[in-house]
Amino acid sequence: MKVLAVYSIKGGVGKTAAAVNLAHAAADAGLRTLLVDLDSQGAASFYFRVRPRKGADAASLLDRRESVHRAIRGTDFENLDILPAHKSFRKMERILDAVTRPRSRIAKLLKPQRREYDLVVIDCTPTLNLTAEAVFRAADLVAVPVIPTTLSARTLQMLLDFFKKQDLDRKRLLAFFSMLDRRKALHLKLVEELPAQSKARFCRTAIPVSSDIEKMGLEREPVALYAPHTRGARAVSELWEEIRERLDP
Amino acid sequence: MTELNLALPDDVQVPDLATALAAGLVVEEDGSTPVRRRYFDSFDWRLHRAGLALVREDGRWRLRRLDDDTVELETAAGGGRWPRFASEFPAGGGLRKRLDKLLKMRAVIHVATVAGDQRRWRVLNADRKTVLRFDLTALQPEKPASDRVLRVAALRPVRGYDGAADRARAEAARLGVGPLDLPFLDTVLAAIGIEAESYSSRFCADLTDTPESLAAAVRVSRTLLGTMRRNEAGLKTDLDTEFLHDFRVAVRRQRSALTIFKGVFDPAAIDGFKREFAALGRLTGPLRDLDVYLLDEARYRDMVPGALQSGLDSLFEHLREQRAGALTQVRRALGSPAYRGLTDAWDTFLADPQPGPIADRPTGDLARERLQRRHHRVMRMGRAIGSRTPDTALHRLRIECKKLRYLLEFFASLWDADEGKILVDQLKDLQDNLGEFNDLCVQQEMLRAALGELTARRKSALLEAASLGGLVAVLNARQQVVRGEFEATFAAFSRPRITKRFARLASSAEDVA
Ligand SMILES: Nc1ncnc2c1ncn2[C@@H]1O[C@H](COP(=O)(O)OP(=O)(O)OP(=O)(O)O)[C@@H](O)[C@H]1O
Ligand SMILES: [Mg+2]
Repeated sequence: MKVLAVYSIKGGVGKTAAAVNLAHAAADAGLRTLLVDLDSQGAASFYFRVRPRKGADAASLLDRRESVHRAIRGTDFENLDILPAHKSFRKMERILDAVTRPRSRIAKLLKPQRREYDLVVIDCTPTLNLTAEAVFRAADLVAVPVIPTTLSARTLQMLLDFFKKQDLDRKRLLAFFSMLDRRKALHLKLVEELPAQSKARFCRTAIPVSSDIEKMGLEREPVALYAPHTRGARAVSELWEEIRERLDP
Repeated sequence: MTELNLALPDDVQVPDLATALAAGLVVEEDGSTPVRRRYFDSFDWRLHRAGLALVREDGRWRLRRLDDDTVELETAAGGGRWPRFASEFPAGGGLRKRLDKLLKMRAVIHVATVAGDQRRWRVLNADRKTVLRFDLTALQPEKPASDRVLRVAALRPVRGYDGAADRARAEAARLGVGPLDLPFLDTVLAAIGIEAESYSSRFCADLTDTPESLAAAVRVSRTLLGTMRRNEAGLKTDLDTEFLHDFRVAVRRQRSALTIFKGVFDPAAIDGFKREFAALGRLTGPLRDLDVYLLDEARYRDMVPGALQSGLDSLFEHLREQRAGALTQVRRALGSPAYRGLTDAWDTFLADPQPGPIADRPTGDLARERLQRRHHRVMRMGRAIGSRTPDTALHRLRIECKKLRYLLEFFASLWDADEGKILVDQLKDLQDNLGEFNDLCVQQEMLRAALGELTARRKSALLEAASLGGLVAVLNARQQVVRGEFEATFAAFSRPRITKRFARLASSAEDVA
């Protein structure tokens, strides 16, 4: 079982869209996949129309009064299950802070799922805290969507610094450009220059800004389903291929 | 929660079922696909007995559980000819291995084909999230054909939405739709008039309603004649080796029955039958011997070192040729007027048997006396065998044990089943020892004969001779071991506790009024 986290310090960069589409692509390719929605806003869960079970709140899951196994629900797609977000996940940080060995807690909770899944995809919140660190320590690969702007480049550097400071393996970071708008000169310039300048590795594939992907909120489905032959869907599938090669699940 | 199959009574309409299963939620039909299921099993229903059904459907081989019709394992079917033996099935999904364990040397044959279609539905909640899937399969026996349409509904719960499945099950129950009470395959078989597990190689006859020996002897003989006849077709088409084996066992049991029931039929009237059944046994013997060697081919090859293994190729080639000849002979014999005449005459005789001097002796009485006598004889012969006794004594004891075994089986319905089984198991240990010893003798003889023919047959005789010699050496060493084990095996069988049990069993043979 391999764990892929989708993370960025900056909000609204396409993390959830990527996590949902990548998880669906993996399941479609035959991998038994679990999507973990750690964001209390529950956007990923919303896309799959799944609401959490009542007792499956952050406190119960983290101190294992409620089993992760029981909290998982099936999506409408073969091979794809989801651990839906619960409102209480917004208290995750405080609860995690109180448990012993908080940094390894998420890895510990996922470990028993390895018999059932080949791949776990985690959709994260845009905060750099203990929860994020616990996710980094559970992940084999952390995919970071980067909008080609100077601000995004700066937050990527902050993440690299954090990895260094916490003695985390920077090779596990894999950046990719998200919401790339080819009509913008600055976007194109950064796509050219940033991969060479940054210490982070970058994917060849960039996810373009796409009205089809934007429509996911309306359709409540992965983009490949309702707009299969569009640029957006093709980019997702190419990105998945690159990530699959790196992960080798 | 896993898939759940429900039997659908004929009077339940599809829309009503769909509404019930949705339990107040929205239900959407997903489409339908044609279905054809071909069922296979061995002649003696080995899969059915194991609670399984082997099904070819949808381009796949599936092993379904009989009780709930769920799929235990499956794999994509390859092209080409229909597989017959476990070894010819695709290895994927563990199918071949599982079938090998279940079927061993038996071939699978077509049991029934059903065809129809499967319609699928989804139940959606307020978010239009699928919370339950279900489908309805309607199938009609196609080969052999029948007008009955059999319907199974399958609930496929979605993980984490147990509530929807629970409500569906409760609503279905209100319509009278519940878990299958009879395996789906058995419903099919009932519709086409086939009885599952109707053949077994084990002898089974109920003698509790045959108070007089004559009726009992007729019942036993009829059972055996039935077994012979049922195996004829498979034997002639050479489907697998067990048709011949069961046929021969039935003939041997019949001959033993005539000895065990001695004096029940008119001795003069059955004298001819005795001789002819003996001849039938001799006639089919060579084919069986060859089958045994060929079934054991892999084991033989393992017995000689790798470098010598290829030396056995021509031996097995030769045996296969011989087998083809032996099969032709057996086929011809079973197709002959003489064989037909024998079975018809035996049938006629059993319909109106000429009674012997003790024909009206109570069956229980006869069973008691004969069991005692046979048991004593085995004990006497066994005790007389020492380390220096010639091998022929062991062969005679082996045959005597077989008769005792048959006797225990013939009269099994007259005494306590558990007690009978304990003694059969005890006897089996002794029989296994004697049987292996005999097999080793016969095999060495065959190999020596093959060695004798070598020079005339092949140029590569040197390697072959070395292989055969190696094999003889291994078999001979094993034979010494088995012979050495006889003493302890017989001692176990002749323990006072077992002897007492035999005596108790004999006296318990109830006199059926
Ligand atoms: N490639 C894209 N092209 C156009 N719009 C996109 C694209 N990807 C995502 N969006 C839209 O941008 C918004 C933010 O995307 P998303 O929710 O995936 O980002 P996020 O990083 O998960 O945000 P948050 O930090 O709030 O969790 C959404 O409205 C989404 O529909
Ligand atoms: Mg998000």
